[in-house]
Amino acid sequence: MTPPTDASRQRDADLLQRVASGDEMAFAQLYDRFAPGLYSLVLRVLHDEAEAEDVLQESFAHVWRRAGTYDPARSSAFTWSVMIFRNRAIDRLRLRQRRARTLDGAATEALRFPQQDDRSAAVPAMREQQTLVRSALTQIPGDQREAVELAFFGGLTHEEIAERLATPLGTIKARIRRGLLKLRECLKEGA
Amino acid sequence: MIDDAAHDLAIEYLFGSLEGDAQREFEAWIQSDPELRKLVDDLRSALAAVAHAAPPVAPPPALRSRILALPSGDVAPPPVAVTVPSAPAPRAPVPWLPWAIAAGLAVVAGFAFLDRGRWRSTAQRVVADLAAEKATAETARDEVTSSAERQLVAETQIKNQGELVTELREELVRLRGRDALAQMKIATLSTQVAEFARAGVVVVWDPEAQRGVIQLANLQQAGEGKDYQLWVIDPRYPAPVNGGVLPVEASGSARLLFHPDQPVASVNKFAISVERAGGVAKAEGPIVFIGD
Repeated sequence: MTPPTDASRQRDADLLQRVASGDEMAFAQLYDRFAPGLYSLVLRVLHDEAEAEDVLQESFAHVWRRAGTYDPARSSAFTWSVMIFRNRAIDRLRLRQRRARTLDGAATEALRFPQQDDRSAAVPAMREQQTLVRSALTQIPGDQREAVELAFFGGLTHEEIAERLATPLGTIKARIRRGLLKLRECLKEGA
Repeated sequence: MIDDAAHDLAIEYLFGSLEGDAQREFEAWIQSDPELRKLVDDLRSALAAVAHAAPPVAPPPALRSRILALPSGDVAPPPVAVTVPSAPAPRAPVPWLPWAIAAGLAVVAGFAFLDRGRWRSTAQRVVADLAAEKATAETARDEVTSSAERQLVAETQIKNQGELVTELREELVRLRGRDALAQMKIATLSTQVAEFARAGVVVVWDPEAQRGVIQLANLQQAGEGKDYQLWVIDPRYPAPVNGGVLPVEASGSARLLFHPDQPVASVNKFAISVERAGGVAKAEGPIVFIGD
């Protein structure tokens, strides 16, 4: 489970449902709450500010059009959004360059983030969530976290990660599985 | 009871690694098994939380205005890199050159396009003109039957395209209203290796932005366990500066927007070498293309 408070989660879900009904003000509020985290995600996948901006715009357009498909019973609004933005960024990455070559090294490369978002201070619930998640991530063994991040940010398949890390496929699958289950448990405990 | 294999399938599904029948079958399974559906939902939430591993970054303020204008429809679609359609397989000795130069100029136009919206229409017109020029050149090429004639036509094309480069560069400089683009470097890399003779490589380098684009055509794969890697040779550094690994498509083409690993003050040459897969920090393999 994602760790935002129930009130925060409910507020995000309400915003998304208002967006589905065509509420532009809700769309603006949703943008202000989610954009710094989602832009950071897309930037980390693409390593290119211009392309990240394109994907952010395309993805928010998708959110505007498809907010009605969001099911609050199955995920938080942020989780729903993250999967949309991440998948579009990975699609863009795969379009841009041939997958195996392009993604090699991308996921673990230290990205020069242009600037951290000072406005995130205006969204305490999001900051709290970020702090909780980062704390949870530190509790995952490094090899598990590395494998998860290669898949998540780099779009690498299990097989590609195994090849990249020169590690048996079964070991990679186990690392990702254990890493995500551990993260799930940590987030539940922190929620 | 959900076993490890089901966990792994759920994870692959969430990462988008399942395709076709495998994806459909797994989705049907999710619909029929509440326990599995709950697991997928939980894992999705955990996975999405990984996004917080990266610190939040403020998008550019102008982007907010563009995105919030989406509901009213009062916004242009996101800018798309300006490209010229891929050329068919060449038959003349140097048929890639018009295409490669056109592609390079398209990138130049793309830089201008991205930097200032007011150049957009002009850049698009330039690219359209280049595409038309390319089509005309290809038609002319197809009409030539003897190798001597092909060579003559190719040489003429090179000359004409060279003049076109100069003209368009001047036009873009004028449009931009400052001389930054005049500083932009366009390099055509050449090879002494016979097996790469048909390949074409054009590099466009923007020293102000410290970024460039390299476009390649008709390039064979580097080989098992190997990659092509771009190097920027700056006399300030004792060793070439890494420009990145070149992703070569199955068609033999490649395009890479690159940012050298170190600041580049003056580009002496660009070079491409064959290196170990994934690239190396310092050039080790043979140089197959070089040019300035």
